[in-house]
Amino acid sequence: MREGYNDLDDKELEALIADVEKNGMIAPPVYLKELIMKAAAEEEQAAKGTGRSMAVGNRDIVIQNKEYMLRKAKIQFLAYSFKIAAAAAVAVFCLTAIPMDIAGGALEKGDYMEERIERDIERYQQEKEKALADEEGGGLESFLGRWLKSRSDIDVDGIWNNFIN
Amino acid sequence: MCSIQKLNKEERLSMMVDTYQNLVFSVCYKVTGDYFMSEDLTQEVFLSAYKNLDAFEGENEKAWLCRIATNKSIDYLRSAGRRAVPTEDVFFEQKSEDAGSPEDICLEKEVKERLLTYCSRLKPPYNEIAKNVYYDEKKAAEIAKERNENLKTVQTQIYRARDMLRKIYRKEISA
Repeated sequence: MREGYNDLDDKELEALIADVEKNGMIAPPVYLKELIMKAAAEEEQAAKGTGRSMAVGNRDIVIQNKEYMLRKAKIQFLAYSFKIAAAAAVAVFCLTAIPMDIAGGALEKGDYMEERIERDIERYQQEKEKALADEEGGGLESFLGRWLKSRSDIDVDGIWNNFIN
Repeated sequence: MCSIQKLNKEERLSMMVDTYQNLVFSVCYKVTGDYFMSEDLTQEVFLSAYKNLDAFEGENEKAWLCRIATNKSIDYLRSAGRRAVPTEDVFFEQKSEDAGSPEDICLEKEVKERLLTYCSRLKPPYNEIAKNVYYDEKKAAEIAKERNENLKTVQTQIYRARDMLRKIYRKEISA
């Protein structure tokens, strides 16, 4: 760093300019002007839209319009509030109105199984009642005898049929 | 001067940039010794001048702009960690000793040669793009036409090449 540049008075500045001009100047990149013009246009737009620019010492600051900022903050607050209210309403709707199958279809499956068990029990009861009725008619022995006979007739016929064939 | 005052702000800025961009850039470069920082500072200088254009009543635009340029450059050097940045003083002095007359001094050529070296370190296609911009001083539209590429693509490549060059430059300066 050149310490001599700390506080340049007019003479020093003139000397610096003369030195630069004498020793040959360096051309900046070709796109620099384009960048400057673009930045200036953006600056102008920002100053028009948001407030006014003001120079304080060497630094330029853009003072935001207070009313504009307040309005912006209000709009932002309303937008966020609306978003949160909408999200809460959707959540409540989902919890209450939409039936949820937490078991992942197991309820339906459970109903089917229950139905089947009931049917089986019913059939079992019917068969049991029938068997009891038969028992009352000829006793269990006669029931079994009849059953064995019918089975043996079928088997005997089967054996004879095999022989013949 | 009166005719200049009649121009609108943008036109005045455009005129100022055309007239003084080399001087402002060179002043920034002389103070900081950083090519890419000088680019940013020059931009800031003209932007600052643009903002205060209405308030400026002086006649010496050149001195005004150079004053802003030196102030901004010194501010940059004053900011933390930048005191150790070597300046181009040695470079200037060497050139002055070597050269017999101001005409013989070709600082711009020297700076460009240095930039060309940095450009060659970039990978393709950025090396070519950077060479076209910084050494051959071609505009994005020209490069796009030559390379038969989209203007936006070339602009993006220039932007990336500039970033890469900046990194190399900073590394080189701090080394």
